[in-house]
Amino acid sequence: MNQENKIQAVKQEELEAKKKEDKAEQDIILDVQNLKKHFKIGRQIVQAVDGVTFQVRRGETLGLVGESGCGKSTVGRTLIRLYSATDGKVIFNGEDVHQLKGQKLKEFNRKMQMIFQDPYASLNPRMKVLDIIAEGMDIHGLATGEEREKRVVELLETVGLNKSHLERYPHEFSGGQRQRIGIARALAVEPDFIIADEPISALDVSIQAQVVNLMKRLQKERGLTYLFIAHDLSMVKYISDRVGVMYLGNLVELADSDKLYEEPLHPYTEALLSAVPIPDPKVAKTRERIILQGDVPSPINPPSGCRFRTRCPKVKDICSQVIPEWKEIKENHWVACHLYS
Amino acid sequence: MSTVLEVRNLQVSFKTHGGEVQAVRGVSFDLKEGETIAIVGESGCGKSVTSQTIMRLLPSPPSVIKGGEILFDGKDLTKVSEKEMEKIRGTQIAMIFQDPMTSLNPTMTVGSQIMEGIIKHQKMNKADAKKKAIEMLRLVGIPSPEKRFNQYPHQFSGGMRQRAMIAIALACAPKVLIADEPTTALDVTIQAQIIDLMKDLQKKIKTSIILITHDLGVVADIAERVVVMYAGKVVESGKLEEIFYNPKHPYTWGLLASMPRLDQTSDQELLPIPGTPPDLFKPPKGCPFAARCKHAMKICLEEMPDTTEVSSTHQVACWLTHPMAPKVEPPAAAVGGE
Amino acid sequence: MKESVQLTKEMFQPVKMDNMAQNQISRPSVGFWKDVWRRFYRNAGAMIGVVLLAIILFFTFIGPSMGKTDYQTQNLSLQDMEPTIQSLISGDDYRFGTDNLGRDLWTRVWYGTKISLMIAFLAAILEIALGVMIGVISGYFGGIVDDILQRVIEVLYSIPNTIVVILLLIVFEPGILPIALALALTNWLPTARVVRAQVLKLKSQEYVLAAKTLGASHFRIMFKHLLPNVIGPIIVAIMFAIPTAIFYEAFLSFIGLGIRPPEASLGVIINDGAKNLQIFPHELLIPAIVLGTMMLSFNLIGDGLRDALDPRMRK
Repeated sequence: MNQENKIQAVKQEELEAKKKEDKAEQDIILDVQNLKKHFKIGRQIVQAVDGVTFQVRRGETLGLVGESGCGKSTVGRTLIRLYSATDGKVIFNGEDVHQLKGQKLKEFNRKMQMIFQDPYASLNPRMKVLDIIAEGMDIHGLATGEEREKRVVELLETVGLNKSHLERYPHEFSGGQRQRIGIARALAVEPDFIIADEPISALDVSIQAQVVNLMKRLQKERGLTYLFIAHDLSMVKYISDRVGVMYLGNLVELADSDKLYEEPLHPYTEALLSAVPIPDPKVAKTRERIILQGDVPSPINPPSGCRFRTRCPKVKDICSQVIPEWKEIKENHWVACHLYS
Repeated sequence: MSTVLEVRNLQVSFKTHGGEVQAVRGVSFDLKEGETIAIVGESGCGKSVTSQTIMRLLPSPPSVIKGGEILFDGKDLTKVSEKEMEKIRGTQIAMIFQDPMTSLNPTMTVGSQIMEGIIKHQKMNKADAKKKAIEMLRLVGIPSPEKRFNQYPHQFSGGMRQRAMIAIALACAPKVLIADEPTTALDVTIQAQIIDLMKDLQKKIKTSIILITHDLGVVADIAERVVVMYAGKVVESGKLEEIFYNPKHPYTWGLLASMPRLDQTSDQELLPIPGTPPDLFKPPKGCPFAARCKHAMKICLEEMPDTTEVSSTHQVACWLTHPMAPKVEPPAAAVGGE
Repeated sequence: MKESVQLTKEMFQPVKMDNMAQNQISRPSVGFWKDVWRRFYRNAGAMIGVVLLAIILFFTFIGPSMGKTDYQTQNLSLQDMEPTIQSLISGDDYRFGTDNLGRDLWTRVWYGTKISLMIAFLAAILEIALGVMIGVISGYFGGIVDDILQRVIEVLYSIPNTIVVILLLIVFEPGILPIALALALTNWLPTARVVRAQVLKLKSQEYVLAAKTLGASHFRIMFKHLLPNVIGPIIVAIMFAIPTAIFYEAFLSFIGLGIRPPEASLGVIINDGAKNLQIFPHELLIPAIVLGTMMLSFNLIGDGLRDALDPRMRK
């Protein structure tokens, strides 16, 4: 009699697990709709981000790549309210981020966190490691006294440092160690979503891998969701489930990271991928590279129509007249290019 | 091929209030005519100090050349006078830097900055120098060089500035060009342009190039020989293929395995090198990499290994090559497509 | 090969490296202030300044009790006595001589120095407090707040200091506090500008952004993240504000707007001495030397501190 019950129970469990999986597929933690951020500099308007739409699923890593000035960091900073949005919406956990106030805002400040690029500028030089990591706990009143110190030590150990570092100042640490401290500070408030803004660009190669592996481990252990912003395509591809490519304030392509590499649709993605140096002499000497001519135009007065048209090797007449539509060409593969309309 | 530049057991230290930081601790390599060698290593490994010592650009104090020699054109550059060095700099050995904006003079037109060196060192008149400068701008791929000649650095984009720097460096046809992280500050697509330009120039002119970089991708693209540095010492050197397909030093393995490659699937785990490089304020007694090395042995902590030859072109400084050492296989991720 | 070392099989045994040990920091922990002190200590000029100032401070406390009489007792039979080396050392007679009312110049000079210093310290502290507050607010909030405050500062800059001070001192009875207040009200402008510039630079630093993303309040960001990082320039500003205030106070006394007799400040004593300059030069020279030495030492210390706090400012 138990046998049957057991089978039933197992079946039930399986069903529920499956449901959960399906739900996870659909579970959108962050929904960015037509986000725009323009800066006024003197009389000119810099269109740093001009209409970006994407979604981030709970538990995944979304990579955002592009060259300097493409607006990827501005996207990150606008998502976390360091900048106010010029237009568009950011929906985080079902709430419009830019409308939050009071208790809801405090909650948001805990749930979304950021890791910064420059390990030398991201830690206050006059604060001890203990106080740097505990800052979030102090602000949100999460722990005091011994409990506070205990939790900081736990966090330090989580990121591979230890108790002996509590009383030290940031300048005594190496770049990689500082980046770990920055990660511990973000983790202290138990966030769900972490925006990593070029977290490894300033680090040495061997240290980069340490930090990336640490981030991967933390994601697994704590079910974190990442928005990983970087210009290093190979590292982004490695850490991300999906990758979005930005050019001059627009998203031009978004797809699963392996898919994006195997089958880039947008000419810019194609050129970007082919420009990445590969540390293998045979590959480096034989492969065909698409060398883009010229430089990225200014975001103050971007080209009409498709913004990439001035450098695009496959440019057509329509590109200068009509802004290409951002749409899903294939399943989970978004692109904004006239070649596919 | 004759040797253009030879560095022998170079040692450079910095005197600080707390003591001496031994940045370069016995570096040797040579550079053949028309050859491109890459010095790779992480920040603080001494690669930039080495190159700046060749150019004698480091202020002293705090820097001190503790020993060794740099043989160039029959002279030891560690001993020549500042006046003589001034003649060598720019005409015989030129250098380009990571940040083109800070190495160009913002108040002078790009054209006159190129002309400056030509007039000073080649005793040309103004009209000829201008012609030569425009020719140089064209050579480095700057469109409409006549117009660009009269523009200022801030009117150039990052990539164009680096091209202009290269034009200035090459204007006097130096025998040696030292490129210190020439592509690091540039975006990927611009980086590709500069690498392309450098490869093109390699074919056109006979200048020997010392490329200082941490980016193995760039190395694979343009270098012929590679010198791997760690904590102020050369740990491995060899031909490009030898370093990438048959690396012998665990640090080289680590460098190769800790970088994800675009053409590899993401389920392969990265193998980082644990820990951080030693503080050269107090360098370890034995092999500097021992503390981070998976295969460290007792001897590694005691004695610095001598350089041994893997082949006539490939040298490594590691105790693992000793006959008494256990056999160790490099990690699969480190030997590339093999 | 290294012949000296006997290589044995045993030496090629693998050892397990403790990677946690990698994270140990080998250099001793050098706190910010310790480092500043080390640089300051090595600066010969600054150390001379410290010694000179220490001597002056010592006498401002001990000096008055070493004199023959207190600072205001007159002895009209002993007017305008000139000092001698012997009396200076032995203290049997008036060490610095007497002034034209027969008061002990030794006592008066050190008492006056004390009053001058008190005014200067008070003025410097008030001025820095005001300047830092306005500077931080202006720089941190930016936008319209910054625009308004900067325009106000520009307007205030265009009014001559002396006029403002004179007007203030006509309204208030001259005394230590009113003079200090008047000085502070006219001298906070440069401090506010320096602090604002620093804050503008710091507020886009990533650690400030990090605090913002953690939900830190404006108050917290200003006091925990911005102020501690502008403390260097503030300390330097104080060190230069003090001699300016001493000098200004002396100037006010000299034109008769300072401390009222029989109270004495250095400016008052110099003013009195100036009247007899041609006949009894010691009545002017002695207080002037003390004033000059004090100014010099504050400037030396200020320079030393600036170099120590911000090594990049050095040539």
